[in-house]
Amino acid sequence: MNKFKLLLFASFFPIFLHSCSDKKRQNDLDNEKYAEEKSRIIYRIPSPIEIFNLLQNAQLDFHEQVLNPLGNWENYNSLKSQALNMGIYSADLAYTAAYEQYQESLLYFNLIRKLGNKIGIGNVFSDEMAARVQNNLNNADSLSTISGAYYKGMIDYLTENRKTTELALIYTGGWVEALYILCNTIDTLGTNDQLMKELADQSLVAQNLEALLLLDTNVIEIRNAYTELSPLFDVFNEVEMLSSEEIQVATVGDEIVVKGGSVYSFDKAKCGNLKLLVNQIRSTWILK
Amino acid sequence: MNKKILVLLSMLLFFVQYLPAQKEGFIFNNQSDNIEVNTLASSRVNIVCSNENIYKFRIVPDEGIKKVHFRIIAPKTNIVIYDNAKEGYTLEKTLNMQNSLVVMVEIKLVATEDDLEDEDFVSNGWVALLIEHKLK
Repeated sequence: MNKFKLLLFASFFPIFLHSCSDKKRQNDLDNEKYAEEKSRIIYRIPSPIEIFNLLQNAQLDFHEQVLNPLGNWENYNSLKSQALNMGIYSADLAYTAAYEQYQESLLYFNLIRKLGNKIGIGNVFSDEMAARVQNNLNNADSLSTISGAYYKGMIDYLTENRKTTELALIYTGGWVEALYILCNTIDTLGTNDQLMKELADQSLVAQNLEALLLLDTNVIEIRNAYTELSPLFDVFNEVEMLSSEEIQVATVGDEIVVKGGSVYSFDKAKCGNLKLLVNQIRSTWILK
Repeated sequence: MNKKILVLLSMLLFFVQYLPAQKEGFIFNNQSDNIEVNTLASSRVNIVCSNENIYKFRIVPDEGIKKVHFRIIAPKTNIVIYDNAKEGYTLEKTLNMQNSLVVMVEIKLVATEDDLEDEDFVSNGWVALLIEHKLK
């Protein structure tokens, strides 16, 4: 190797090494990011429809006054209020569909389409879906199915497009509205043991939702929603545990039967506190 | 993200949900999900299960995926409720719970050393976690 080549090699060797080291560092970072991404748990929240099944099973009446008034939607100008109220209106749609309130269902569906456009998820609400709603106004089963399909479509769209903030806030709004309707339509709240137990089971949903929100508290909208919900999470964290047994698993035919686990319940005072908190949080959210 | 695969999986999910499930009275549960999976790490999904319902968990893998390992775990205690490796990697299980419970579904692709040397082996992709429920 002549002197010139040696000099050239000597000049570029540190750059080459630096570049290799940069590349290695980038790979390490990618691997770390990959491992971190993979170690994240996906938290899913049951749709409000499942809560309304409880009301139907208990043969409770429909109460129109618990719905978020349609006219409020024009007040929602921030991402937080739009997404939270998207969840709230979606729960209202599920409630009206479950109780076969056809005209209300159509009004709420159309409103959700408009709000969806504001948030940038208008694609979920196709003209075909709107036509299906219109054509199935007299068919309770179909309306509930369409309401479920629309909810699933919205969640899928947000997941696939990694709109995690909107997804978390829609889940949050939907759950709070379902709790609000549950707390404000049960006359026997505080005395019906079965319903109190089922309400207390919502502590499991609260756990999942809290964990989901905590993943993204660096996002200001989520951090604010989490702060506002914290007193509610506290109530659910203090739910009374009636019994707790070790989980036992048995196979019966093709089915796995899981025995044990914990049984939760609320006492009358906690039910009252829960209702108060849910009403406060929800009334703040639907106004702006 | 491979959008084509996602669209196909979503369509599959949409069609699959109404056919066998309806026969047995099961209905689609909105906690179902499309999940990215690979041979290196497990993907985990936390699901809330009510004791009012019976749940059916089904894994619908992307075309080309050979074996999927899935477990259902009680995350608080780490008790394994179901491990499909003990049943020849079957892709469906029904759960009936005495009390409401959060369960974690853990999904990973299975690969032997031979698989990893095979050029056609699919080491990552998407699966649909299809959850259905019916009232007890």
